[in-house]
Amino acid sequence: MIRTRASIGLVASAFVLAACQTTERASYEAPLRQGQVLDPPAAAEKPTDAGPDFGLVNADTIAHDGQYFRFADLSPGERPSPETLEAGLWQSMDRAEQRIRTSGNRVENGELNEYLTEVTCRVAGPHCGDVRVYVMRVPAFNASMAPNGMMQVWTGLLLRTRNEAQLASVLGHEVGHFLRQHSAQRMKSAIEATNFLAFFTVATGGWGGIAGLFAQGRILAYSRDHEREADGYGLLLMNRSGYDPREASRVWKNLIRERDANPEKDDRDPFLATHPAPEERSEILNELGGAVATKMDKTEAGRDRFLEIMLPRRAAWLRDELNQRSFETSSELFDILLEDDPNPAEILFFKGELHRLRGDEGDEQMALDFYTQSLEAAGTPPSDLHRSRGLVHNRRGEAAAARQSFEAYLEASPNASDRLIVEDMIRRLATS
Amino acid sequence: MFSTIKNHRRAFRSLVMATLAVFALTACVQTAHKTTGTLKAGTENRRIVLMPVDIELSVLNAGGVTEPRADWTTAGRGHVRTALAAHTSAFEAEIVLPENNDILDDLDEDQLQIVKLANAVGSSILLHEYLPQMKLPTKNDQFDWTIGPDAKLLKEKYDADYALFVFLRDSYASSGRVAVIIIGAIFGVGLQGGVQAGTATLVDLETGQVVWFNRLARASGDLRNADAAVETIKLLLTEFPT
Repeated sequence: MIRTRASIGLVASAFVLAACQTTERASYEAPLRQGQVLDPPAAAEKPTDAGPDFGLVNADTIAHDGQYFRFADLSPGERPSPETLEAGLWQSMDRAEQRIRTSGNRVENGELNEYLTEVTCRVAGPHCGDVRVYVMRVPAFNASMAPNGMMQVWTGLLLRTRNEAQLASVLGHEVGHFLRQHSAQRMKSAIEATNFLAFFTVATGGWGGIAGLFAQGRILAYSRDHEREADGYGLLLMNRSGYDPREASRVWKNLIRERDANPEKDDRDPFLATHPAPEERSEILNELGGAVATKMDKTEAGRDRFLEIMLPRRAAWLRDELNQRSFETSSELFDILLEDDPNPAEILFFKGELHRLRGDEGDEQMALDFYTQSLEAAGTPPSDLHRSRGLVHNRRGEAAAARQSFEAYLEASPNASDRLIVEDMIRRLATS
Repeated sequence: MFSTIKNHRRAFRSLVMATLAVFALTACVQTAHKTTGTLKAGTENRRIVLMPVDIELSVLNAGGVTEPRADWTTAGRGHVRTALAAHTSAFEAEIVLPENNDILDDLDEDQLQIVKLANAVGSSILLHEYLPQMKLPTKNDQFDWTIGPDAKLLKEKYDADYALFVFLRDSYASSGRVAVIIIGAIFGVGLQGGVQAGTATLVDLETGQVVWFNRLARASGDLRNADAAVETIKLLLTEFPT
């Protein structure tokens, strides 16, 4: 949760210092290799329905290469004992959860929340009761997991995922953080590293700078490995619940496109210090996802159901996206959505809105062109379209066209909250 | 976490804690702010509700990372609650102690928002009334803070005239931290040990006006211990209206 606001130099050094870790791939496969090795279970419990590599024996046991591993640190319903660091973090997160639960930007739509809980439960399996999902209205691609099982999913993520399997890959990643209690692990590691640093500094009479880089590098490398492991969990849990694991890497492919559309792209984003590069995640998830998929009898993307829930709520999220005034990346996002969207009229309208809001040379004409495309495209454009079109015509001094659009707007939404204002504009245009 | 994030949620809390830590380092004298020295007269039985205490006890590790301790916090909450009840029983008022004294589970959405607002106002008072450079010119040197007339929601809920909000944080140096402090001292470097910090806010539930406020910040005290908690509460409730 806590961002590392390290200086660029420090981040760079951290990368250098972290170069001596295990290979990345092994971290992604960690759910299958780490964890406690168990005695083989009784014959009755042996996995039957999955391949030799991904056999799930029960709630927290997995078979891999003829060995059995425990892949969850906590049994379903288990709470850490009161004297542990985990318990301290859980308690402080319980307090934070109350704030989140009553937060002003929480989206409290029943159907949406039920759906997310349902998908979370499907990937979390026996741990379903340990995780609670909160949808937050934030126009960025993210989800987070607190050690006590409080998961936040941002609307910017719901806007960008294209089917249930992609959503499940993210939710599975977050559940992986919970199963391994990564926050607590990271905090323990930070305590060890800073304790060492304190003693090293006083023992050497102030040589803390070098040791500080080591401590910082270690903490960041640890964080990146946790993200890789959580990605591995995403695949594992998708496999367990029948989602197509190949969808996990597609999320990253789209995010890379969106990021590259930003002319002021900052390659030194501190986010990259705590997370692996999107390219790496996309590539390895693609490879591993493909391997997992070949071992599955049936894989599901769940696109129809997903879109049925998201589409009716999407207009507000698209508006939030535009309000960030990051036009290049928004434009790229809209193009990605248009590639396979069942309601292109809505996306095209917002492309028009983008040009209307930007207002550079030629944007007014572009806006009008997109509004026209929107009206001709499949699906239903938002009722605001005619008002926006009226505003652009009005700006260009085209009184008749503006009036026509405003009248069309009031006809389409007779109970619009801004009816009086629009009527007033129509009157002024009539007398001009 | 899945992807990039800019998290400001904890920023305000951290600012409050940092403010309190500054006070602790400067070992300040207790000075309460108040608009009145007496509770409302005329009513037979004035009732003060002691709102659930927002408390966290933690270990300060050698390297300066504080680690929350659930077992200490739970014990500390009990000690503070007992000490508060004992201390306020001396006032000519009836004390209401809500059963659910941990995470306000029995409040509805609107009542909860009032509690959150009261916490935010308390943080603002701490920042703007106790740091001279943060003084708000529009206050004209008046102690004038309110959570607004919706405070009535809590009045109805608890059938009380006043609500007392208490926020406490207490940290204790681990043995490793003590060693680092001692070695640091030999080299002439001053390092911070454990800190006890907190605020108390008394709100008139009829008007929403904050009628009394105090803060505590020092490098001593121990809320893990029942007797020491009594001393902390006595200090925190200095100049409480009677």
